[in-house]
This record gives sequence, C-alpha cells and structure tokens, in this order.
Amino acid sequence: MLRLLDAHRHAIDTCVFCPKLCRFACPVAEAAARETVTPWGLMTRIDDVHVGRAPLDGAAGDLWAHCTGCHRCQAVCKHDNDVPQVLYAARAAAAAAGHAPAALGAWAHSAPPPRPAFDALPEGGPVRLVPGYVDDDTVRAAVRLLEAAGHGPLGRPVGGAGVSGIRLLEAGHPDAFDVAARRLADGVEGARLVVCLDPADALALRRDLPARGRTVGPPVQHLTEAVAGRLAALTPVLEGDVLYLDACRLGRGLGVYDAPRRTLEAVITGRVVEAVMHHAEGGCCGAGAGLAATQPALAAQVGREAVADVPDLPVVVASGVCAGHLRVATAGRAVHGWATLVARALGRPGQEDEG
Amino acid sequence: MKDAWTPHHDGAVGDLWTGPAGAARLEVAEPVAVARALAWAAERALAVRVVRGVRPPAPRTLQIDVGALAGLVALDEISRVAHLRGGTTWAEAEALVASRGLTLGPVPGCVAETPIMASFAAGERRRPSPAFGHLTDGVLALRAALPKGLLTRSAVAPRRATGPDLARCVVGTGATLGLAVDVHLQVWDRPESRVAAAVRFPGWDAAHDGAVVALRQGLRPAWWCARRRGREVELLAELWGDAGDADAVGRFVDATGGREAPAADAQAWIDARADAADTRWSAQVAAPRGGLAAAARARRGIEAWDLRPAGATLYAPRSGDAADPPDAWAALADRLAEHLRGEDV
Amino acid sequence: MHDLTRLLEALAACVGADHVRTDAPDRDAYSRDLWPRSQLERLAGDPPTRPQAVVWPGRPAEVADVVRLCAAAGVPLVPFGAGSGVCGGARPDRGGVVLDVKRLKALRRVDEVAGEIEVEAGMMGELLERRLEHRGLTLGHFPSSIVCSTVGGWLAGRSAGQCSSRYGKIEDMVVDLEVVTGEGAIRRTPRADALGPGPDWNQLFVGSEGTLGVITAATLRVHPQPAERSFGGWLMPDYRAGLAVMRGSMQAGDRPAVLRLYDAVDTFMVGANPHAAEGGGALSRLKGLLSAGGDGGPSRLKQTVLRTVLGSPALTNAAVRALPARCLLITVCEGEADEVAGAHARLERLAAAAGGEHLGEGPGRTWLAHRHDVSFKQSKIYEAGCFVDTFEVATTWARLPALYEGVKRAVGPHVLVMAHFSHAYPGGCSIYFTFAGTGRDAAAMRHTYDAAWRAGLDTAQAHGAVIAHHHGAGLSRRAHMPAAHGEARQWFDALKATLDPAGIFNPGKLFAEEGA
Repeated sequence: MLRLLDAHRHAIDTCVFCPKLCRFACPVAEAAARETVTPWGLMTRIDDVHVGRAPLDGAAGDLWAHCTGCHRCQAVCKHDNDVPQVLYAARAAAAAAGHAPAALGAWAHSAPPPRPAFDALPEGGPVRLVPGYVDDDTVRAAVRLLEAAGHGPLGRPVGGAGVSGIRLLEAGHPDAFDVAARRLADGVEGARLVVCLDPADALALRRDLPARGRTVGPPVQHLTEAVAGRLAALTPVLEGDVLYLDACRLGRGLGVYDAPRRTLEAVITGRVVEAVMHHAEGGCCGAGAGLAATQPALAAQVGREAVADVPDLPVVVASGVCAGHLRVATAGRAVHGWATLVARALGRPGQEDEG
Repeated sequence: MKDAWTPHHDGAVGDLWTGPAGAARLEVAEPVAVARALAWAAERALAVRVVRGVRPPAPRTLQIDVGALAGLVALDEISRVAHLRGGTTWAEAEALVASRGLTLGPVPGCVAETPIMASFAAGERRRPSPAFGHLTDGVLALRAALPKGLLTRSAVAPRRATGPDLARCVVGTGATLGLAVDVHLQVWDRPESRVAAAVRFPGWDAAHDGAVVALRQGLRPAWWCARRRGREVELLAELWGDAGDADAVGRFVDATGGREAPAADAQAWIDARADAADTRWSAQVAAPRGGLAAAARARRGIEAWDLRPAGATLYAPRSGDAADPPDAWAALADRLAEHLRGEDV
Repeated sequence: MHDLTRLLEALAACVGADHVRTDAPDRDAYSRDLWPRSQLERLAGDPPTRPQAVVWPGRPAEVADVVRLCAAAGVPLVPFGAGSGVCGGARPDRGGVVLDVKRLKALRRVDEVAGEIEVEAGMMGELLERRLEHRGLTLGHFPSSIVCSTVGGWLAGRSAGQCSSRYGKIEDMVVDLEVVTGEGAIRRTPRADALGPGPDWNQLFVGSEGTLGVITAATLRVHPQPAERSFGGWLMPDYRAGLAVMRGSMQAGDRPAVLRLYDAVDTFMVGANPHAAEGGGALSRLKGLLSAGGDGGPSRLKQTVLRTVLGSPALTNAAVRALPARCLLITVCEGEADEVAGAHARLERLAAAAGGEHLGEGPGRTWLAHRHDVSFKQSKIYEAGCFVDTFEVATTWARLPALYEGVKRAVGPHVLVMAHFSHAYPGGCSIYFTFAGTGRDAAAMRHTYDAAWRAGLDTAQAHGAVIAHHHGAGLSRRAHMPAAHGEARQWFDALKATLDPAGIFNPGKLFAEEGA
C-alpha cells in the first residue's frame, strides 16, 4: 500500500526539504511541543518509510494519527502543499499493514449519536439535511433555522444515510469512503439543496468526492450558508461579547468566514471578538481527523490553545462537533454551537408561528 | 610618593617597585607586559589595580601603571572606528579623535582621567547617553591580557554570533578575568552644534513620562538627567546635531510635553558633568518606573541619568559606598576567575 | 556507564511519562536541526547520531530536575527549541538526552509602560510577535526563521532580525534571563540596565548555544508598533555606492528599520533591475527555475538544466560577472512621523549623491510583503538534486568591499554565489552570502558543500572579519572557532567549568572537545 504515496512524491519532497515554514501554524505540533508531529516531521517520517529508510510499523501508524486535518499549514504554505491528504494516504498504508491505531479505525467506523429529530424527517424532498455526527439538539436547531429561513420542506437523504463517510477517508480507508460518500450522493440526487450540519460533510461532497470522480448534482451548503441573510426576526439571547472560532473545515475548507459572524452579531448584545489569529489563520478545536479519539489529551490541549487568547468570553463555533469537543476540552467554559445559539434567537419553538 | 616604593628587578616582569605589605608597582608599555604582570600577580595572589602615574601602595596589590600604554593605534575614518591602547585616558582619547573631527560622545568629568582599561575593569556605567550609550559600549573589538599571561584576539566587527560575547569577561570584573589592552571603539562626527534644553514637570513620574515620549519619537540627547528643583522636577539635556537645526530645543520641549525652563539650568548641569573635578558620582539604584519619587526621597541630591521606559538609574554624590553584598552571581564570578587561573575549585 | 533505564525512569518521574520519549520517530526527528549538511548526509544515507531520549519539561523546576539527573548520570543534554538552526548547533552528536523547551511557552508578563515582556524560551517567534501586535507592541525581531524558531533559540544563537538596524539583534533586546545552570539551579541574571560588580552574565549566556545552561525565560524590551513607515528603493550604480548610502545613514545616527543592498546577481534574481537584459542565458534560466510558486514541482528537464547550471560554477559565475553592476537598495524607515521623515529624507539625499536611480516605494513594499517567500525556494533546489545554503559574516565598512570580493572569488570555483548586505551599524555591516551547487551524487554534493564553506570562512578570517553575524557557530563553524577567538577560548573553558561542571551541556558545540 506504500504505492499510495507515489502520487504524493512531490508534496513529500516539498515538505522534507522545506525549512519548516509552516511550523508555527500547526496547532497539533504547537500543543504537543514536539517536532516529530510538525508537518515537516510527519512528512519526513512518511518519506523515510516510503523510501525504505524506516519501517512501516506501529510507531509510524501512531505518529501519523497526529493531525486534525485543519489545513492551517496549507494556508501559510506558498507551495500550497496539502499535507493532510498525504497523511491520509500514509494512514491508509498503515491501516493496510495493520499498523493503524485501533482507536482511529473505531472512530472512523463509529455510528452517529441517536438523533430522533433527524429520524423524524421524511425521506427525500427538495431540501435534504445531512447531519453528520452532530447531536440531536443541533439537528432540532438546524431544522428550526432552515424553516425560519424559508427552506423546505426538509427531508432525509434517500436511503437514510446521514453521513458522508469523510471520517473513513481521513482515517485511511479511502475505498470505504468511496462507498459511503457515493451512497450519500445518490441519496441527495434530485434535491434542490443539500444542507450539511457538519462542515466536514459539505467538504466531502463538494471537494473530496468530486476529486474521486463523482460529482454531486444539487448544490451543497453548510447550514450557515443556507440561512445567511434569511433570518429576519432574531432577538439577542446572549449578553456581551463572544469569541468566534472558525471551524477549520468551514473556514479554510469551504471559505465561509463572514456569513456566520454576521448572523452571530444579531443574536448577541456585544461584539464578535477575534482571537489573535483568525479567519484563514484561525486555530483548531482539536477534534478533527480522529485526533480526539487517538490522542484525547492532546486534542483537548489543541482546543484549549485555540481559545486561550481571549480567556474570559464565551466561545461560539459553527460546528456541533467542534462545540462538543471544546466543551469537554475547556471544562467549564461556556461554549455555544452556532446553530443552537442562533435558533434560540428565533424565540421559543413554535413562537414564530404564533405571531 | 615615590619614596614609598623600592626599585626591584624580577626575572619574569623586569623592573618594578615594591612597597610595604606586599604592595608592588609595575610600569607597562606593551600589551604583552600587561599579560606578564597579570600572571605575576596571579602567582602571588595579589590584587591588581590599573593606574596612571604613581599612587600610594596598597597592601597585597599590584599597581599596573599604564601611562606608557596609551595612544591611538589607528583611526579608521571610513568606519569611524578608533583603535586605542588600553592605557589611554578618556580625555586623551577624545582629544586624539577630536583632532580628526570625530568624537567618542560626551565624556563625563568623573571618568575623563581614567584609563580606558580601568574603566572596562570597573564596568564604567556613568555615561548612559541615549545617543551614544555607555563609554564601554560601542566596542567593535577588544584584546585582553589574561591572568595566565596570554593575550586574546578578536576580529573587528559591530556584532557577531560566535558564541558568548567573551570580551564581556573584562567588563566589570576588576582584573580578575583579564584586562583590555586595546579596544576598537565607535566614534562619530563631531556635532556642528550643541544646545542645552531644560524642561520642568510637576513630579518625577511626569518627567519620566516626558523623557520616554521623547525617546519614542526618536529624540536621543547626548546626555540628560532628571532632578528635583523646588517643588518641580526638571529634565536637563544636551542636544547634539546639525548647525542648521535651529528648532532642536523646541522639538525636544514639545516632545516631552513639559514646560520650557531657562537653558542656563541645563548648561550649568552640563558644565558640571564635563568638569574633570566632578568625580563624586556613583550609581545608587535602578528604580523602576513609578519608583523614582520614592527613591529620590530616600537620598538627597539624587539625579536620574539613565532614563528609559522601564525606569531609570539613579546617581548620587558618593558617600563612602559600601561594597555590594556578595550574591550568587558574585560567587559564580569568583569561581570563574579561579577556573581561569587553573585552580581547583 | 550510566544506567539508561534508571535515568529514563527518573526523568519520567519528574516530567511525566508522556513527556519522555524514546521511540524511533522522535529520536530521528531530534537527530538534526536544519543545518543543510545534515540534509546532505541524510540523502547520502549516513545514519544520524540519535539521542537516547527526548524530554519535554513543563516548568523551569522540571528543567532543573532534568539537568540534575543528567549531570548525575554524566549524560549529554542538548537544549532544543524548534530546531531551525542552520549550523548544527542542536544536533545531539554525542547522543544523550535532548531537552525540548517548547512546553515552556508562557508570555508571563507584558508591561506596555515599561516596554518589557517576560516570555518563556519555548514560545514560537511568530506567535509571540502576533500576540504583541495584538496589543499594539512589537519586539522588532523578524528573523527569516521567525515562523519556525523560538525565543530560546534566538537567544542561544545571537539571532538577528530583518529590522536589526533599528531594534538591534536579540542580544540588544535582553534585559535579563532565567537560566538553569549545570548544578540544576534556576538563576535570574542581573538586569542589563542595573549591572553591579561582575560581568554582564546576559551576554555570556546569549550566544552560548546550549553549552552553558538552559535558558528558560527572558525579559526583553518591546516597543510600540510604529506609527509611520516609509519605503525606499534605489538602483545604485554599483554595490560600493549602495554601501556609501547605508554607511552615511547609520553614521548620521539614524536608525532605519531596514537597509538592504543586493549585489548585482541578487538584484537580478529579485528582478529589480529594469536595465538588466533578460537574455541572460544560463542565469535567466536559473532565475526561472527558482521562481516561487505553487506549481507541481520542477520537471525533469528543468531539474537537469538546474543541475547543469550549478554543476559548472566557474562558467555560471563568469556569466554573472557580465551582468550590469547596478544593485538594488531597499530601505524601510519606521517610528514616529518626524523621525521617519528625517531618516528617509537623509537616505534620499545620500542615494541621489551616490548616483542612485530612485525606484519609488515599490521595491520596499514588495520586499515587506514577500520577505519570507525566498525560503520557499529551498525545496525546489533540493528536489532537483542540488543544494543551497547561506553564511553571514561581518566586518567594518572599510574592509567590507575586500571581504565581499574575496569571499566571492574563493567560493566561486565551487558554487554559484550571490550576496546581500544587511544588518548595518555605524561601524560596519554584515554580508549574507547565498550559494548553490550540486554534484553527481549526495556524497559529491557534500564534498562541494564543505569546500565552499571552508573557502568562505578561511577567506573571511583572512580578511579580519567575524565568521558569523547571526546564525551562530554550532558545528558548521567549529573548525574556525579557535582561530576566531585565540586565547579567549580560556574564558569559554572557565565559563564551562563554572556553569557546567559535569560537562553535559551540548558537548562539542562552539568548540571541539579536548581530544575530539
């Protein structure tokens, strides 16, 4: 399976011979304080294994689990090198050889949490919801937001799939991802709009699946894009300022920065405060690409560091998965999922129908 | 005073004088002679004092008279670098470069007659000039004599990254780690004009703030101080610059935000600082910003010379200064000297 | 022989088991820094000397524990920042334990009024500067490695930033240091602005490259963000005319943030000479090959051309000599409005008097916007089977031309060489040489690389220059250090004996060990 890396030879060389110019940008390396897990360190080990200088073993497999797929390194790389994609290929080689961390595989194959609100939606319909791994509260909030924004009627993808399988790709199971993502693509055919609640799923349908030869027919949006500018009656529900953290796959992945901020401004009494580094250079919550499963303590540290610049404010992040991870990581700090917070600003459930 | 000394000849260092209680005196004319003298003193566990001329004997102390080790070795007028022998006094050095239209910057009277070598050994800090730094700053190279009788070497350059700045071993360490036998120092074009400026403030903090604002605006007086005057605090400065710059004082006053006072106040202070008889000053304490008033209350006649954002160093007339108590770093410096002499520690 | 297992257990007990690693990937990653020779050794298949373990203490007290344990065991201890050094200073050539300081990364204190910060050694440079910028401050330290280096590394190697002519080198910014010395004591050096009797210990630890102790934190001077900035660009008739401008500015007492003069080749490479014919043959091809960008990598043909051009350094350097002599001078002045205006006006007068052709603000602005981009070219060169490296030397203004000409002549037979003059002072300036070469295989490249370095440093010393301005000595200059210091080496040995009695701190760096 090492041949999977052949296609990435130039990307590997670019990193290995680079003087670590993205070093400061990697949130995992910064939290771990460890050169071995910098993009340079990871790619150097991939190179060593690829050319036979080092064995493909459990140590390599464990090492390659140290990435959240946040693409912050790529954001500062003049070569535009996509390190996570190379890493996913290396993870595939490790998985094929039986050297991937068990926790990574378990994470990739895990089932989403129970979401009665999603299950209650009819199958098919013009607007199809892809909840990914978010919880039921977030699904309920999203449904209210989409309805308030005039989208509907809402439905589930045909066949019931609610995830794109992006975790499988990130964990080194590209073939399984192919199957899962194509099933979802089939399930949204004929819709007018596909709305993903996890930016990772939107990215999978907009970028990763097309890159593998399958385009998705209807437009695919993240929830923040779908409701942008369409929520008329929002009442502030949070006093004071908040710190907004760009979810990596929403910001760097989909390029969505301003829409969620604009909506957020309408539901707080204060300002949307930025961390020292934000937008394309913003921090990472630490949950992505399986890090929270394989290295929970490190993933928590990544999350804490992402919001440490502004320690006293509540945090808002437009990904239910990120919000859930940050709540655990920051233990006691107020962390709001964007969808649930904005949905509260609509008023009590059903209130909008009463007026 | 020569009566106190007895001529003597030693195989290692040649002609010298001895005095009571292990005192010795040696005249040196070459760097290598300084190195030999240090080794000779180290073997006998004598303290070393660098002097010009004949001084009274001190117990178990070797006086090294460096009067014959003075002068300008070379002057690089392109780089504005003067290569001076270590026995040259600051007043002599300034006169030597002044004849070529250059200056070392202001030379305080309290150090004018001190040999350069002795100033380095003492870690001279009594010219904290915003424009020119301390007298012992601006070193592009320093050659030292070591207690083992050897001479160091150094390339001449404004900065380097070849390990620790080892030449610092002879700054502020007496003669325990060596003596600077010659130095390459930065020199500057002599200014076309020198003007005095005086500005008054309601208190120490306001004066300090005014000084910091001036620094941040890029104004760097040749020297300055803040001191109490009645109920106010005045900032006195000498500004060096181009002849055509008629508004230097006005810019300075505006930058500090204080009230302009008669320039005579500043000129009197400048004259006193430059007076060779003015040898009374010693550094007292580094006061943090906000702590100047309290420090000034604790000691009459205090002047704040080294004004900087973080605070200032206060100077006061000398009053039989007690030696600083030994601390951990002093103990380390002692061990360093012992290691340099090759002693078991 | 020490009992490694027992040492590792003790280390784990003091810093936590998660913070002691002995796995192969970690030992490999910490077996080198960014010294290009290590890269050539790797390509040649030479096995690196790896540390037995890497430890990550989280507090100064843990650093002290690690020092005590290693001292007791007699095990080498190599302090490590982010490993961006280019001289091999952080390479654990004697094995032992690498102590990574990056968990010590707190910005302990910011005092805007006093203009000081206290920051731990493991803070990454770019992250520190961003945080200061957020508060309206700047350290003013912008080395090209700022994105991949730590405060501790800057201090250990006497780093210089691109704005050093205004803000100084890192050693000029130090107020005091927190250092763990060889007996395992956490010490705070006397403040540089309140020195009592004794040497300025700050200046003895700064530049010590981990040989005298572990720097765990520092108090550094900071400044308000500049209110104004002016940009200048001139095409000077030749490099001597450019040097005259730089010298005139600095000796007048001005402090422009940037004074940067490219020699004719470097001017050609940055594309700033509108008079240079683009039909420069091999050079133009070389320039095209090295242009930055996110392409898919150089083609085989391009790589072959690059190797051919760099494989004939004598011919290539001869082609270089046919280039127009004009040189690009870039200036940036910053600070308060009056100071900026005054310094910029003087530069305009000096440049005009020296025959400079004014290019407006463009070159300065372009440089500022892309000042780190050049480092991205490195990958392409290595990927093509070539190497590139830099070395910086410094001397007085009067000696600068002879030093420049001499080093170029000496290095030219081995590699393509170009230079820029930056880091100016009233008394002199540094020259930053960039050289690139190749060989039929990695071993041949290493041979050429060594020959170029040797020729460069030999010549620098013959011209009375210092052999390093801000990259440090590490291993790459070690052979030239005895000649650079002469008997001053005794001071170093005494410092070592005083501060590192067990001789564990980064052995063999700066100076070769006795008998090595």
